Amino acid sequence: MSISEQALLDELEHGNSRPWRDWAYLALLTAASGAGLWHYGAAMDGYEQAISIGSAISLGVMALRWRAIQSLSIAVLLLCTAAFMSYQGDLARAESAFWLRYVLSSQSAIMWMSALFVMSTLAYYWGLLLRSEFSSRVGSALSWCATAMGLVGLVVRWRESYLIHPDYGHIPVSNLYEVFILFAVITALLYLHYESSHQNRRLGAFALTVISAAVAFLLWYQFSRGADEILPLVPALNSYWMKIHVPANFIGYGAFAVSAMMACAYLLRQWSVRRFGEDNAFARQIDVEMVEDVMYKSIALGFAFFTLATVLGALWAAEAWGGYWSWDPKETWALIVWLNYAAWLHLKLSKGWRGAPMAWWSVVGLFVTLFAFLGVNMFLSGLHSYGGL
Amino acid sequence: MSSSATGVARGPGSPLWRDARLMMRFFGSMNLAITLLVVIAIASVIGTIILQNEPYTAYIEKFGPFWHPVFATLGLYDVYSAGWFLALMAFLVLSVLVCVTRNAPAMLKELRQWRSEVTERSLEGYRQTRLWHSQDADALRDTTKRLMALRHYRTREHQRDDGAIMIVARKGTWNRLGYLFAHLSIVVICLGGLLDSRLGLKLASWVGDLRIETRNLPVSQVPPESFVPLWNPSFRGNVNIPEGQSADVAFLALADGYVVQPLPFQIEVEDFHTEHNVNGTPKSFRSDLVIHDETLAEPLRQRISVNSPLIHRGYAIYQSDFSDGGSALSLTLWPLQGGEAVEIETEVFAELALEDYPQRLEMDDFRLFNINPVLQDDGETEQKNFGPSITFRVRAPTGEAVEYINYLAPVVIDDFASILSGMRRSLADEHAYLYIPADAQGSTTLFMRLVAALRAPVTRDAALAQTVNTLTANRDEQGQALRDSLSQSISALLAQFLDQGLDDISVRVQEIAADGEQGAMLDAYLRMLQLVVASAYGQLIDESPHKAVEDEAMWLEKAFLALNGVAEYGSPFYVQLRGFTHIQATGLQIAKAPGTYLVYLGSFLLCLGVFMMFYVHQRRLWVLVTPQEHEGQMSYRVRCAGSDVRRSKAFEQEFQAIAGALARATGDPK
Repeated sequence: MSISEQALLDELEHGNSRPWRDWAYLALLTAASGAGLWHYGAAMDGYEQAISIGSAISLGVMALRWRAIQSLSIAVLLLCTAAFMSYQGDLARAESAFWLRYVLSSQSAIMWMSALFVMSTLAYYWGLLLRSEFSSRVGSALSWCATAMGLVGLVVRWRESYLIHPDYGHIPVSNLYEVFILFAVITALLYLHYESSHQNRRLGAFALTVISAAVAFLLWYQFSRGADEILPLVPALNSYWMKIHVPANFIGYGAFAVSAMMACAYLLRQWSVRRFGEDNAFARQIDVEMVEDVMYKSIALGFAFFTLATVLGALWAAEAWGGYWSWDPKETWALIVWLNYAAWLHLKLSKGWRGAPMAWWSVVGLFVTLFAFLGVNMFLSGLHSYGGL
Repeated sequence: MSSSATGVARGPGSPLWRDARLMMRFFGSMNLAITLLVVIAIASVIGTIILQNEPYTAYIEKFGPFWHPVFATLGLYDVYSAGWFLALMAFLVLSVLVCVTRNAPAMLKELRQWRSEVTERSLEGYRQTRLWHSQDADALRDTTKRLMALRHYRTREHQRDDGAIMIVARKGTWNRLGYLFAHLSIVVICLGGLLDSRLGLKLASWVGDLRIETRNLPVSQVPPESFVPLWNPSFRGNVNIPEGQSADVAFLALADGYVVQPLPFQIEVEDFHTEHNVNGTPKSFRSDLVIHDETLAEPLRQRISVNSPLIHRGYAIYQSDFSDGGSALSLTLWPLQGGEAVEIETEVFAELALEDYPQRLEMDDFRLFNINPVLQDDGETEQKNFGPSITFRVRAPTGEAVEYINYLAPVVIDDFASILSGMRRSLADEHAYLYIPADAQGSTTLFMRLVAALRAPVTRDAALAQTVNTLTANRDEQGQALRDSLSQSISALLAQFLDQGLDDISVRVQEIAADGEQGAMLDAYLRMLQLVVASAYGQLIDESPHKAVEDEAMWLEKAFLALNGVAEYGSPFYVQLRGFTHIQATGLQIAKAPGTYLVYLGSFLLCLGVFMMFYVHQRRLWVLVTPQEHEGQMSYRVRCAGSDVRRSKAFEQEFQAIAGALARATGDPK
């Protein structure tokens, strides 16, 4: 968070006070989490209750540091509550109740998310190519809406899985279809965070490109493979570990994707400079300093969460497969991704490398990550066989 | 490296000491570290492309006799415990260790140091620095401290000898600890991993203390040289225990075989059960275990399932697999090349010599459920239960074996019920399926009787006669001689069909017929064969208790296709499963991994360290207040400077804000 001289002087005079809306938000968050635990707590084991409480605390901390999260989470909460209430415990109402059918059922929400992300991408491109700040603002707003709808889709899908049959109930991060939604949402949030901290919307086109690609895959996967069907969990996934391992992993994947897209921006700009000279219209749109900063910051964030995710995965593996590390292809590729970004970070921090080589490396890194995420499930066999195409 | 090494050898000082320093420099170099990270990443790929720890026979088949020994020597079948891979890891650990030992002392010193002795000159030279004048030293000190506290800095005041006051503020000192944690954790994790690796076993087998057993033997017959001592501190093995039985060993896979690890207790399996979801997919696998241990007052009973193991005396017992535990099977062997049907009683894992055939029968598996995805007409796949199946091998006296998987119940495909029998000649192949048309009872019996009828002389001749009658029904002028010759040629055709199949007949037709007539001739042959089959079927239905099938034309068409398949079936008999008593075995994984705690400690340090490195920013600010007299009035010169390791933009902003606010609050007019 940036800090200004005036704000410091004010604080010096009046003390460090939090605005009332922060307190109001915390109160609402506490109430909503309490209500959630009271309502569903009986269905959870101790670990799951701890995870819920931990998530609520993390959300609170995040929302205090980045206030846009407050509005987002309230919007998601309201929409989800509306969806839960209109279901009235009957899945069939997804087809009959107007709001469920067109907006709030998980399928509709995910469709809205997809459409909004694509529209946001277009608006960002318009803003970048025609240098229209208004269009970029629209892109940003659409991204926020898409993120909200994606989150609503996930939460409602969670609820729907229980409505189908209690046997089916599980958090929607268990197969490739569900994690692609998670990926789109997390990547968008990460980008939006950097956008707001740099007060610069020009790079949205790049970040949203990768999200649109994910959306395109999601739609293909849904319409050609029927992947949106909710199926019960395989026994190996039936564990509270999944609730933390998978999201932590996707913060990593999302951050690596953002960094690779920043690298693309860097390389495109460099190409335009070579082609059209230092002061061409496109090059002026791209703030190199921001691009390099975001590239580094997102790799650092991705690396930290990927480390955490891999460790959580090892803990889970110890419990499910009888060993914390089995050199299963997915594990091994996680290690490869980790080593790759460790090398990147050492070059950046110890050797002070920057510019095009690091950008290229970051792009290559995305392909390595992509293979770990998708390729392993498609081409290699192993213990992580749930996410197959 | 070599050129500089020779350069140093000529230089002054103890050469040994110099060499050691050079080695330190080499191992501590960032280039080496980054190279190692990348090389290990690339080397790791190998083990994800080549399936690891498969039976050697599978590799020979895959890579051929030339590459197999090369790959085996390079350790590519078990890359992650190959010598060269371990050496790479050792280099990485060494490199990290050297780096840490070189950097740690300075970093630890920095943790304690406030650096309050920095001179004003050097503060002037900092990237972030500002100078102003103030009138009130006390207010300045107070404001500085309050301001720093607002930004979460800790401060310390230092009175200098020259009368100046230095206030040092710092935060995020722990960033440096993050570096130490993150790097040392790699050493800790690798040590833990090494403790739990199979290196000890490999060494023992390499030295010759341990012999790797490759034969499939009952535990009682495994020679003692293949037993690992009970005290072996770390291992990971598997054991399959049928319901109602118990075991006190685990099998550890090693190279192309296994060794046996005794356990200090007995594991008895009371029951194994699988629960299914409403759509038929498995929901949970559970075993009810009883641990019989002398150290326990009474046996320990516990249910384990996937994701919930039992840990007893440091031995962790996991639900990892399940298999057949020797189910009792009632079989009928239907002859495919003539002879009598034989009924036998056997069980899974039995190997049988057969009276009527030279082949041996090896029963491998029985499965009660076979849930497979089936592509529906609407393009969606649906999970479908194919029912019970047996897997067995038919081994010829030459040693070659063909594997079969036979289903008990029919499967409806395109509205027609068939019973599947899959066969493959090599484990690397996919199964090829014979679709046997089901009779009214849903079994293969009618088809098998049809095969027998076409083979047995009496019934075959009757069918042939009827066929000849049908063919010559409208041609009374034809003589008996022609009828006999027709009967003979159809008989030969039938024999060829049954033994070699239609492909062989079509090859012969191409040889003997003119180009334009091949199609007509083949059609005629097909019609004759179909007539024989239909006649044999008709006789069967007439004389035996068989009920006619619903759609005879369709049944005969499918039977004809199946007869064609029988020619390539590879076995002189078909094994029909008549009945079974299901006995399951649970597959347990048993592990003892004392390195786990080290690995967990290392993992914790790693996460902590990485987050500290990235999210605890080490920043320092100095405020040096120097009194000066100007025209008889005391005033104070304030020099404020700041530094952070990363030289980040965020710190630049923070410094501007802090120094700006401080200057405005304490007298600087700007």
